[in-house]
Amino acid sequence: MRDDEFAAYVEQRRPQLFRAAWLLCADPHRAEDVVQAALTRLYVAWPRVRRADSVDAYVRRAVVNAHLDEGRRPWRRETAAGERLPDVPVPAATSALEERDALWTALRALPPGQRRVVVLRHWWGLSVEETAADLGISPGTVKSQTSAALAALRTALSDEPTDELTREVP
Amino acid sequence: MDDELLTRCLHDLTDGAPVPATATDEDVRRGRTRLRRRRTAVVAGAAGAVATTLVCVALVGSGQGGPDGRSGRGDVAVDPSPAPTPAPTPIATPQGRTCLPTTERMRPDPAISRVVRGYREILAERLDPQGAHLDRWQVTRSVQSSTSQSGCPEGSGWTAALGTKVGWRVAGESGQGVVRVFVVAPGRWPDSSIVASYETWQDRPVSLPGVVSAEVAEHDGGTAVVVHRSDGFTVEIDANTLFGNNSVTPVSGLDVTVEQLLAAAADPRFTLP
Repeated sequence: MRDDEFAAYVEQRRPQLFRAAWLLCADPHRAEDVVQAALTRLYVAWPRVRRADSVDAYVRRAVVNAHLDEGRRPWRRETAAGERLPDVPVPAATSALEERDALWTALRALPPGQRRVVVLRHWWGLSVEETAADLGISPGTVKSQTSAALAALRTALSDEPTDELTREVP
Repeated sequence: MDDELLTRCLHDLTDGAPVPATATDEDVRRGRTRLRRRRTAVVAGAAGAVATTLVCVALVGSGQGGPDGRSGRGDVAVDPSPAPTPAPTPIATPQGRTCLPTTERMRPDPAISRVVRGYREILAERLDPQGAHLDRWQVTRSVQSSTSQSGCPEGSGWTAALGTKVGWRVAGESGQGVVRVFVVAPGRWPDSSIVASYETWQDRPVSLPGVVSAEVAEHDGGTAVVVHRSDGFTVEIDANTLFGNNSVTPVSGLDVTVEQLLAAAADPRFTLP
């Protein structure tokens, strides 16, 4: 019973969880690790969470917590950007692509705490109070981090040069 | 940029993005494994608690704890205002180990990074001398370390084991394999994820310089070896066709022999910082 219900839930929600984790981590590989960790926790807690009818809330918190844990794990990826970049021609970018790149770059530059607030509030659509409860911080902190994040994104996006393409190591 | 625009932009970024194809069965399997481990830990913990309680009851019952027959609990002097513990600083122990604050060890440590780079060089030299497969310079790298507090002040530890994973590519294939190495200090139990991953370990007679004994595990994804060296170090190497953290597609194979893996693990340059 647990396996069937859990599998059905994962089937339906995995894409959403991966995308949220991707925004949090700014790295698809780490995002996959975070989702795996969150779903493992969910499986263990499934009967209790299912009874409380709070599966979505639980797994959302599990994703955020797994992102926190990810930064503390002994196994950690080391990015080698700068040591050697693949010698692959970069295709000409359209304006839309440039905008997406600029937003990714700006998101990556946010401190992790601000990024979590942005993802919970603006991607997941939570209220200030819900975000505060998920992160275990005060509503005032959520507001101040939201404000700081918006200001940083606004500045970064307005300063983004358009005549220079950058390439990130995936 | 306002709230609404940011929300729209974030969804534009992600909503059309491809999602890795991951089998739900794998999520169920990982969950089952975690649940099983947790239940085992709970049972072990309960058994330990019962044992501790029995010992305590026996001690109190026999009047041990003080020369006058009172229990030890009442004799313990409690400092009402203990001085704060000073932050530990790196110190060298008589055993030649360097103790570092535990919290510091979670940050990138130049000494560890240097040693891990050396591991990759040895693996490349031994297993991929042509430089055709190992992602020596790419992002598929990670560091695992284990610390021990033995002989160190509280809040600090020394590196008891260190390992890394290096991706393995095959030309013309999109998948990714992995070579994992884990080096364990003398006297420490080689309980890394490599050893724990497989149940098919077999003793393997070898005649390599500086090697006391060796074990090999053939598994679905390739081969893992453990070498116990005469200098006390244990070195574990796993060659696996699937780099599970980074790919869902395995490579067709890793072109390395068991002898190459054993010889690599026997390399005396695999040591700890």
